[in-house]
Amino acid sequence: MTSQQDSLQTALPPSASGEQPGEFAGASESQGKQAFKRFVRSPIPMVATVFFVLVVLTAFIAPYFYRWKFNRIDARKDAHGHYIALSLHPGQKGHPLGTDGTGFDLLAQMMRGTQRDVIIVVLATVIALIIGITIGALAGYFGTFMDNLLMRIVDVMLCVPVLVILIIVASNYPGLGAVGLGLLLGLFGWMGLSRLVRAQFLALREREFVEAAHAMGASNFRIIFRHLIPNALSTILVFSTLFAAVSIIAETSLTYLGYGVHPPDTSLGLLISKGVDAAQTRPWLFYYPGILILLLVLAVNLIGEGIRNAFDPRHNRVRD
Amino acid sequence: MSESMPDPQAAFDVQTQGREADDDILLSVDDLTVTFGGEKGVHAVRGVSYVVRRHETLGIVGESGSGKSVTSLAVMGLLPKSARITGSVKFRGKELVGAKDKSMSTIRGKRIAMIFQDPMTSLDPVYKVGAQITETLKVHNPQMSRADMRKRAIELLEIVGIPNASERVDDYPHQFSGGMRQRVVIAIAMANNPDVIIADEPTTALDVTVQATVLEAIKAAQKETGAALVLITHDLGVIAGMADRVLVMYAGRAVEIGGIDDVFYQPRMPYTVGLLNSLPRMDTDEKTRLTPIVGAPPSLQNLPPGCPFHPRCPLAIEECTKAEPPLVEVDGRMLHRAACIRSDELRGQDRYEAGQVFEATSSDEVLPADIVGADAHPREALEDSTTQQDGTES
Amino acid sequence: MLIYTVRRLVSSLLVLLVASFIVFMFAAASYDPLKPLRSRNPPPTPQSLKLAAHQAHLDQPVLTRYWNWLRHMIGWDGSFPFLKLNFGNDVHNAPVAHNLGLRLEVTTRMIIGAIILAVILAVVLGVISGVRKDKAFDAVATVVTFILLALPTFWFAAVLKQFAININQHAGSLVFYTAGTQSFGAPPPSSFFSITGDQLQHMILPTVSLGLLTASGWIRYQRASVIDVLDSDYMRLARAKGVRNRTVIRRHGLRNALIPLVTVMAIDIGALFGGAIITEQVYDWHGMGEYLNTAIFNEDTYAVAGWVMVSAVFVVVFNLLADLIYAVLDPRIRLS
Repeated sequence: MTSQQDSLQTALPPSASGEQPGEFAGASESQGKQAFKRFVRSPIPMVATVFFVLVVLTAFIAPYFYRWKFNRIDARKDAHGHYIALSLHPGQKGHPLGTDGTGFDLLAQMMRGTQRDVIIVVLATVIALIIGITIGALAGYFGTFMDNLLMRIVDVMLCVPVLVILIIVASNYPGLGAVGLGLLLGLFGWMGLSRLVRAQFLALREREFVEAAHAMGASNFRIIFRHLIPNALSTILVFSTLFAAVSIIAETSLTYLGYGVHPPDTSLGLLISKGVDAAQTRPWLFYYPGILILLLVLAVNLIGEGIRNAFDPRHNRVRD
Repeated sequence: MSESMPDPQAAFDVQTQGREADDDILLSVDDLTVTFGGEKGVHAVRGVSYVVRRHETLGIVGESGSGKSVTSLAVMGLLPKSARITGSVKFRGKELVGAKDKSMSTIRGKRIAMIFQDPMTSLDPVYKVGAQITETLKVHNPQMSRADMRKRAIELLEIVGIPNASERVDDYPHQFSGGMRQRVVIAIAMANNPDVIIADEPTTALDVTVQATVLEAIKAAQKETGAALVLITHDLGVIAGMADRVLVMYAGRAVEIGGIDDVFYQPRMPYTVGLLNSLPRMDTDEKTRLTPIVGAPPSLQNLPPGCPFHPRCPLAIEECTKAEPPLVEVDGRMLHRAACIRSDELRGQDRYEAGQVFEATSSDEVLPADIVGADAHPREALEDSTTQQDGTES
Repeated sequence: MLIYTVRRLVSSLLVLLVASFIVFMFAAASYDPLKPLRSRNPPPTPQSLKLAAHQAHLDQPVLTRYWNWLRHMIGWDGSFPFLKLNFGNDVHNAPVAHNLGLRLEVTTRMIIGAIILAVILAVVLGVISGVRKDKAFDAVATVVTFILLALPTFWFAAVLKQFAININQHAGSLVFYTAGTQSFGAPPPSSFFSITGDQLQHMILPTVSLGLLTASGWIRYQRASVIDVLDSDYMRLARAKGVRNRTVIRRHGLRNALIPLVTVMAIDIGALFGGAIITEQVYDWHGMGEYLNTAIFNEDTYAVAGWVMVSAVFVVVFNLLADLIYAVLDPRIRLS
């Protein structure tokens, strides 16, 4: 009987936080922990996570120890007064990945570019999450009028291709920079998430535990935050990774068209945009940053898949 | 039913027994085991044997996780490829275990038909109901004309009680209610006059009020085709109204088998006693407390030693942990057998008297832990697909 | 079904209306079409400025301008034929609608080609991957689609272009056309809806580029849809009826698995449009992308507003089409 009592403790929430007694905790606690354990045990997503974390850490820390800086050209000259570090192939003259036409070390630029991209993506994802979850939750939970109104707004925003909106708005603010771009991507990327959250909330709203919480006097706010959002956790997490991946690519597109990041700021997108012209003659400028982007986005996508599988493992369902 | 039935274990050894009664045996399952996921996987069915005779109705009862559905899916050959099946399933003497899809296809829908649990998902949403009936007609009667098939489809719908059958035959599944969809499924099952119909929890997903109509439709199907019926359910009330013989399953094994009167009035396995006593009594005025069985079915990956029921059994003794009790005859009668070393002690008690042993271990507080199980984490239990649970899960 | 369609139509029109308002206000507030004029040296006289402003309707209040623009756009300007579609004039006083139309035709060519390629790939590869889940084919297809999903649009287009250039060099002839919509001096197509072989050859690289990237997402989605369907109860019931496994997959599985693809296509049309704009730039196509860039550079209110409306109509029309197709395929929608 004692083991039964033990498991009883985990079924009820800790009353230390002053909640109403007997209120069931969001099942997500156990669900989230379970999913986490499953994620950690899956090889491919773990490799992707490790890779991603390593790259990001390197990009932020290594520049302090690295010989070349992203904003200082290699100004060495030869006996005749010519710069020796222009358009160097990878491995030449102490530049492991080569240099561009002005003398900037490619690896330094790539690290700096990764830093900027991380800032852009994190900012964009956080903003998209905040807006998307709020709107989706309000629409899904309160229904009828609020739902209609909010979803019409989403429809209006969605009828124009997102890239187009971004171009139009970004073109208005030429000095955008990484932070501004991150804000922009977040402000115009939340629509998909709001629809997903809304769908989840509409479904969850009818479940018994919501009724039970109501009956125990929980406020709407509390229900949304302590019960519904945790249960929509898997959807939100998967969306975050997908959105991050899409943001990286969106940044490259915008920058290529001329509306994203401008020099002297740099980003991976800027590097490959400039690299397009050099693809034939100085391929390292084009391929190395491109492959880095490819690997980063791939890693993020794999992490997303891993999260999705962690929350919803597809066993052979044994029915009896 | 004649009392001189042969021991089912030797049933298919027709030559040595030489009794005509054996011709009555349509389906004989012998020591069937089903395992998912390799050695350390789930042993869903652990040695089940039963026999289905012509015209009879066999009820298979058990909780979720007892293996009752998996047994029938194994008979039909509809388990996923990853399932490991041993033992024997013979239909009219022909071995079905290991048979190729091609030969199984000639039996499915024609000799043995199946009705599934959830009518809302059993029918293909993009095809008309009539087309789904004629599909099974066409497969087994290739020469049948389209006009004849349509006529037969309408006829079948009428037999199961669908009003306006001649119009409804051109409707899509979503235009029917759950109960009516299930009746369509029954119509499909009886279309080719099968010898055996297996109904896997046919009423579980339906409202109580609709259950009766579906059961009526099953009875009509049985009457029309003369088929034997294997009725799988956890609902004892359904069994009481329809079965001739009952097989009680627990943790992948048969724990009691017998005629319906035997099992219902003289249960000899504590689990059966507990099941019967968890139903409210309608025949007394006094209010008696329900005596549920505490705990939950064990995880099929982690069976307790000895008798799998012993952790929940009020009659459990030291001896019970030693070995799993075999099905032995009750009072020397072959037709009623129970898997309990103390089954003799229940002799002479009707099920209510016997049920009193459960009073000692029952309690008024039904806690979530009770529903879920003492050592199982709620989510794990769900994934082991042993218990149904509503409440705080998403 | 009819009511459903009408409701969707009305809703779409309302959405377009609101969008048109926002777009026009934004463009009018942000752009100063007289900028090129103002920045001339010697500076223009106040009278010529006033004249130019009048020609560009800048002396009217913004709401009036909006209203007039809207009226002319839908052809309600009191003159017949009804649908004259006047989008106003751009900074060079050329009609926006005419140029937009030409550009739209170019971009649409690429989009349609990409859609056709992506659908074929999604259906074939997605279904096979789903049916042979976790086997060799599926593993390879998964790796390839994941890589494709991770590629920046123009980078991949540029890679393909390089690849083609290399092949051309090795072959010594123009195996692939890497720039432009048609060869210089080639005869134009005979009518609006026809297309020349030369144009088709020029379409190969951009269509493949855009199509492969689009296909990658659709393949994953189709695969998931197939896996879902294969697991469903009605598949099992069909087998329980005695239908052979292969037939069950073909008859019940495919039909149900292909339907959701229509939804995904509708959702992705915006991304396709954006992708087309980018791919155009890599292959030097004079399509919608170039037009927009120029219009923004010129701070051309009418051109930008008209452009955005065209893209919005494109997306909305496509979504409506997808809804209709979905209703045709799925009786649950059709008959509720």
